[in-house]
Amino acid sequence: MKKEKNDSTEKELQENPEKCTEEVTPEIPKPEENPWQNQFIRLAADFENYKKHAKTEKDACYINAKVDAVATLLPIIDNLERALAAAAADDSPLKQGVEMILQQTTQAFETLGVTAVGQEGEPFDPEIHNAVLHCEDETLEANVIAQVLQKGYRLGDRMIRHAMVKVAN
Amino acid sequence: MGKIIGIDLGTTNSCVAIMEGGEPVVIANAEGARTTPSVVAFSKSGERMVGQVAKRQAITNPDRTIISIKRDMGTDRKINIDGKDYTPEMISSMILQKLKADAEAYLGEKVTQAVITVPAYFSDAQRQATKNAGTIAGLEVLRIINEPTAAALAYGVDKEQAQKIMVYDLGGGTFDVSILDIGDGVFEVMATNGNTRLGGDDFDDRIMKYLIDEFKKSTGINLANDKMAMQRLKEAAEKAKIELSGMTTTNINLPFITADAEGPKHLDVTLSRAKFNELTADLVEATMVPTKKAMNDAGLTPEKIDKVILVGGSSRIPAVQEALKSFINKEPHKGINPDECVAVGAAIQGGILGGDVTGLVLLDVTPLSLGVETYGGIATKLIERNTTIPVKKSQIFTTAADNQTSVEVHVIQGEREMAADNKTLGRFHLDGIPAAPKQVPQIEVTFDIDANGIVNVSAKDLGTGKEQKITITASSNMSKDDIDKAVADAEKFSAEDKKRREGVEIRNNAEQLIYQSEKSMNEMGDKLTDADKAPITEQIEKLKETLKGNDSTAIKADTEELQKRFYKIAEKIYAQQQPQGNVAQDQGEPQQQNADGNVTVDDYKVDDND
Repeated sequence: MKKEKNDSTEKELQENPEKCTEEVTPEIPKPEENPWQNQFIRLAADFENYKKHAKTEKDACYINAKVDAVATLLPIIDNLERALAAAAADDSPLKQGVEMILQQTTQAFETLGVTAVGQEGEPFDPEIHNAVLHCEDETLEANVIAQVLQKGYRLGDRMIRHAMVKVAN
Repeated sequence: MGKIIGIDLGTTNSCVAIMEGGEPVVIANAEGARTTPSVVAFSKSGERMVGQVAKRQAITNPDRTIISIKRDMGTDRKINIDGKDYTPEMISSMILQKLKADAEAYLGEKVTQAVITVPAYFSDAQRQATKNAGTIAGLEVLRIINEPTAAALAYGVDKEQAQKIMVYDLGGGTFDVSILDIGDGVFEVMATNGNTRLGGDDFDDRIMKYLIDEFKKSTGINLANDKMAMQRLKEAAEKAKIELSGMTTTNINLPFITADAEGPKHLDVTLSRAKFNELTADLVEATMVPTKKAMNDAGLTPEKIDKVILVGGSSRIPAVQEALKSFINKEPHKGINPDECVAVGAAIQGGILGGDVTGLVLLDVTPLSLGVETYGGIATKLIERNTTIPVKKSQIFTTAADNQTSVEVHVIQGEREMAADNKTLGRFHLDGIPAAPKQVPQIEVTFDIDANGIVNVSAKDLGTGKEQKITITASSNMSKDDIDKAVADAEKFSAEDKKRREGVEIRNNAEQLIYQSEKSMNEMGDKLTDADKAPITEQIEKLKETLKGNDSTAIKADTEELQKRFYKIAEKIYAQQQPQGNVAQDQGEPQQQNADGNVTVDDYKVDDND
């Protein structure tokens, strides 16, 4: 019984949204009639909005802290990658060890939900790439990534750092 | 009526703020940044981009990316994109639209009105163009105000007496200095000067150049030819500059910056603030020239300037602040984020225009804490100082003696721990409390301060519903000096007061425990043997004797001893009350051992022997 009733109320709401809005909208007095009441309503509205923002900000707090922390660590990973690149010809166990460390980092990032972005050959997208260099290269199509100078990272929808790229043509 | 936003439409960056509950708030853009690059771009597919996203693609699309459009405001320049001519107003309106959209997303409502700032030197044509940009963006521009005026508003200088103010604005790419004459809410620009091609980027370049030179000296490699290395240097230089505003040295550490036949090369340079100052001394001096010119134009000498306000991110550089300080002989004003203070001022102007600021409900705070005196002369605070009023708070109290039929509510104001050291605001009695053992009656004391600072204190016996109240109107009759003194005293005597309060609390605890022990022994009378009672009564007598003195440590020790002895018989009573108590006790024993630490000690002994 109860459920039915709820359903019908919901239906009514959907069918007749205007009617419902009318009922809940408080009558706003004209400022010249009662400035205090007007001010009160505005302040009350401000406060309602403030509460909403406070909640959003609180929710964003964790993500922001995570993004900040990961962003601080990124240069270390960049440099580890540079170290490996510099030892490209090397085949020593030391290099293998360092490679394993880097792999561990990638795994740790995956656990945190952090993924790398920026691949050579993909089309340039300023939402995830930051173009710092430009080159003419006939072997590549227009507006594709010719070189990733520094990997980008994202946490879900949030960019932690844009991939620093060289864009062709 | 909707909200009026305040916009700082800058050459390199723009910022939007709003008044919210009487306070200016800077609105972060959709990407989470509090300033938005003043960059507009059109992608090859015709899509329009504004802000950071436009900046990131600028190098790939230079013909269709427009930066620093502000420099062209009021000119006839046309920017042709895909056969369509855009005026500087139209490009600026796109930046304004983005800021408007971000503000709407934050507020959850439409924004239709704005206050926009312009440099003090802008001509009428440039101002009109800025206003037009607003109109194109769908904003009714209620007022165009000067950037230095906005900065001064942000610092609230309009509320003070007539004065002359210097606003020093060193942004990312432009430098402006203005001298303002403020009086009776009227802002007059006496003089303005600047350099449209000087800013924070120049400071970064100096660091970069230094790093390149240092690296060349030690390795012989010129990094200027390596574009990737230059990118890293650029980032590192900006970071170093920012760090040197807070620290005296910074380390620039760029491993694997390049490589030669011998292998990888690293850049590791420590840059001191002194060295940075040396590298950038001429840039700082370059800002002082227009500053001095503006002073001359205004016909003022440095000592005639009442205040210096800092605007723009690069005004954070310590050498800049020192140069200004030694010129004007006054500490520059800081406090509001220099990147945001122009937008904040514009929002305040918007608030004034919208009646949000002038007619604002001025919410006051209680200057001192309010409370009542409780047993032993302790000041128990109900409302802490600096609480925003109106406010209402309640707390339940009880009686201190058996058959107490009346309580005195002694209303006090102040920060000290003991009631006697605070100011008495009033006293009243609540009578007719039915006779009951102490600590049984529940008396609810309520403090209610209305918006005018009038304090209503009521006490209600929750048992009978009987109520008494007092209204105090004199709570605000303390002068500012009195208030400051009261707060200072509280700090001065805080250690001493705390000790005294602790002393009273120890005493109260002792008295309460005596009362409870005696009461329980009477109630349990026949269940206890004289042998059980003896150590307790003995200890009670001892504690009573100690209470005659003032030795808190002794009182505390005796109280604890009494508690210990009392717990022992309490356990016994409970054990007797439960016929199956034996089982529970058996189980309980090892636990007790653990708590006493016996088992642990044994373990350690074994270890020691090893």
